[in-house]
Amino acid sequence: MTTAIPLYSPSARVMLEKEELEHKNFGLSEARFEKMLDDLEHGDEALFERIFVSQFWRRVRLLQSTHRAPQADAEDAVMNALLEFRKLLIARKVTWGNLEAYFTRIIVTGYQKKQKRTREISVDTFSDALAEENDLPDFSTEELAAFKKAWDSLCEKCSAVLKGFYYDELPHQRIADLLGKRVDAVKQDKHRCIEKLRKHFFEYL
Amino acid sequence: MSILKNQYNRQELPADDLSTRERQLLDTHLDRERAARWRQLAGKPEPVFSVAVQPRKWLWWAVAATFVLGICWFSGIFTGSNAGMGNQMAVRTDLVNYPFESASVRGERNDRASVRSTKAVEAYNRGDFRSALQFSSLEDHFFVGMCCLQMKDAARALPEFEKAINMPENIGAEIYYYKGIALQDLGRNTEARAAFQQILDSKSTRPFYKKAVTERLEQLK
Repeated sequence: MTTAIPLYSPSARVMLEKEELEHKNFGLSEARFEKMLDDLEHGDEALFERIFVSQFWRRVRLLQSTHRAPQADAEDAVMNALLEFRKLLIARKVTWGNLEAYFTRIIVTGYQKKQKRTREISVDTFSDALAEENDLPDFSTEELAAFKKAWDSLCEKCSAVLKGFYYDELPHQRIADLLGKRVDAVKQDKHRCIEKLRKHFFEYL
Repeated sequence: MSILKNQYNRQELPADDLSTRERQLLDTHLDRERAARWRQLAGKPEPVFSVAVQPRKWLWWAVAATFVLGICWFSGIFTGSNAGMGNQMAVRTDLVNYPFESASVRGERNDRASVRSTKAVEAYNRGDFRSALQFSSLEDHFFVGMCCLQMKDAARALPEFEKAINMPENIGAEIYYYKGIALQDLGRNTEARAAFQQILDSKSTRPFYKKAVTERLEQLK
């Protein structure tokens, strides 16, 4: 009775498995992934951009080939997926393990959702749920321009607090930790910054 | 502008919080900023081919290398068997060439032709003497000698001619013509003259050989 000789030593196998896992996670090790999440919370998006934004055109092409998506739609779908993925990462709703598959799923789901919305709905297939889908309203150019001016006029502290709370959806405690302040100080800052933002916004509107 | 302001009734806006519309506006603004920045970072789209190639670059290099090697193999660069690729040499015009097709040197036995391959003869006739040597048999001394002589390798040709002459069935004198040329190439003029004289003395030597020999002897004076 002969014993099978393993092709790889145990340590080599571990290394191979590790490489395979990193390959599924855009080449990110688990440690580097955690670092990326911390950076995102601190407002540093460099690593995120290097890893994910570099995938943009490849994902566009994949969507075009697998779903016959027109280029413009594919670009929108991938860009929206990037924005959504960033928010999910900050909210720590995505774990390291199979980021590539997760990201692809977000792209495809987003694209299919949009396709469903733009398809003509017949009386037979009309659905209340479809009608009540939560879409962002269309903002006028003047509104967006006024908001941009108002936002740009905020100080760094205000934009960090408001972005952290409303855009990144971080809790007060986390924002306080990131800014090195107490929670009640952060709440007061938020109140003051909202007032400033509104004041400027109405000036420019 | 008043229409827009009506959408934001300041009286109804919460003091410590952004309204739903304000939050949506903030989201849209920051999303657009990011999207614009990322579009710029992403640059131009990659060519379709590079997208396909990227994940398996090493594979494409392997395919390209195999393709190049295959072309080199078929063109005979490794085996040196392609006469059209620089193996061809200029046929010497200072001697009576020997086509090896239908004629044979007087004195050569007929069965000697069975040792000589068609490939070897074809290579010789197109001037690819190196390949002719490769395809020839080591026993075919006269043929080997002729190839060497054409390549101006008299030192190698001479022993081959001597072996051919020493074969009991080879009694013709015309081989001496080529032996004489080999000796002459080596600067052994006295021996060359002796070899040429044997041709002149032989009754079986064809006229064009005698004429060629006479010219050679003139040179050696």
